[in-house]
Amino acid sequence: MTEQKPSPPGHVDVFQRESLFSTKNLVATAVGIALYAALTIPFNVFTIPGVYDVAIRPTVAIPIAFGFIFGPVAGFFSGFIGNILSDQLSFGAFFWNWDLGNGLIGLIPAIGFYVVKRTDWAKTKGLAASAILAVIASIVGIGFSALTDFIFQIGLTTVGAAVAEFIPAAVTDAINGAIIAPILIYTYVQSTAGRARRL
Amino acid sequence: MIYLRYFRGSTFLHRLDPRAKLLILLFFIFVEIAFRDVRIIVIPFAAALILYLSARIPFREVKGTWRFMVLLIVIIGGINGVFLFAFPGANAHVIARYWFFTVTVEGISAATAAILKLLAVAIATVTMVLTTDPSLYGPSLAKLGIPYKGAYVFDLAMRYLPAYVNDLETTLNAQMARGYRTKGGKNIFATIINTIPLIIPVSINAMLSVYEVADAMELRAFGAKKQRTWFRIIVFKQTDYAVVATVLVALAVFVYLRVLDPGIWVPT
Repeated sequence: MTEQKPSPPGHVDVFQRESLFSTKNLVATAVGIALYAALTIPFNVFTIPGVYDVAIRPTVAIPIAFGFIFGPVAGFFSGFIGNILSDQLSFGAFFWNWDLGNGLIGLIPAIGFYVVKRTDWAKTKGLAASAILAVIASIVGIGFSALTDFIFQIGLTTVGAAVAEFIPAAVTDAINGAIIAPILIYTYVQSTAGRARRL
Repeated sequence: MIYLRYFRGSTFLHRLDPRAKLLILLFFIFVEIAFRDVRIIVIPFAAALILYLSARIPFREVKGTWRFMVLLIVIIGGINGVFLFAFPGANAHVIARYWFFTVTVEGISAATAAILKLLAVAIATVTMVLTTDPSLYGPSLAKLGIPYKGAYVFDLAMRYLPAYVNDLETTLNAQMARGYRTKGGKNIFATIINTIPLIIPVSINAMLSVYEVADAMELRAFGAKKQRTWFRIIVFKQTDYAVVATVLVALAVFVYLRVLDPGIWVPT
């Protein structure tokens, strides 16, 4: 019935949908990158025996939680650039496909950011959704990396080697994500209770 | 452990334009990806060492960083070596056999190359980070044509990274004072759960600061305009042009070497 009036310049509509590259999202991205890189560097030492260059990473929950809480931009870039930085600064290896795979691990949980209601995040429904998304994200992300490793012959030559690389990495990432990401989300929601516009 | 701190100085590397440093790094990464020949990889390894030594970083301050990095590279190189020695290629030159390992000339050559490659890139990256003023990351990325929002995100991330490493250490000490043990449990679940007291406090603290930082930036009109200027102005000097030209020539030589495709070097 009523026609929507264009808002006057300088006016901020509180209910308008937040842009993907809002200042909050950008800061969340920067914090996610720094956090993932900083916490992954010490954990790079726990490498799985028998598998080349695959590390047990409890910190994989960070891009997952950032994707779930702050949306796709923060999730993707904290995984992608965070992985580049942590690899470069700890042992100097550069694998573009593993970086992209880590980006996917952060991007996929952002489904939860759009689908799950904010008020449900700390409830069983939201936590279960985040755990399931963490498992899916790990399988897709590591699957992408192992597949591209095989297709472009980066260090691997046989299907067996690709599977041998995929299974331990995907399983440990899925377990890590499914345990730690819901705890991170729950703790975040609890510690922001009572603060204005945090969710 | 102060992992990645900027060391003030006035050496050649300190004065070099950050964009030129980025090009040097990309050159090292190219060599790392493209070559498996020990004879070629020795060249960038030596170059990285010379770059590091020329920066005159006090060794006492970065001892922890190097110890950690060398340990990591030895572990990864060792795992790589196990793979190489467990599955030798056909008609390889066998030196000795132990258990299920077959020591071959090809295996030793490839393992040495892998370790030298990682060391070269690691030394180069750390040298660049230690000699670049953190306040120059944003302006130089913006000068490269990256939108200022992206440049600022990277700038912010590089500024926070050492802070979070410090936070992690503080948290570790605080938890250990409460009886926390770093040794993981027997199975994978215990290992994961054991890391929670470290990851959660650092992450939550960081995540809670997001809105404060964003508000502070918006109060200074961040994101209000399409363009934004930087306080630091970076100008390409003659030495920078010389360095870029040298790196490009070296890159051309290495691309030519790659076209010849040396593969793994086997001494005869």
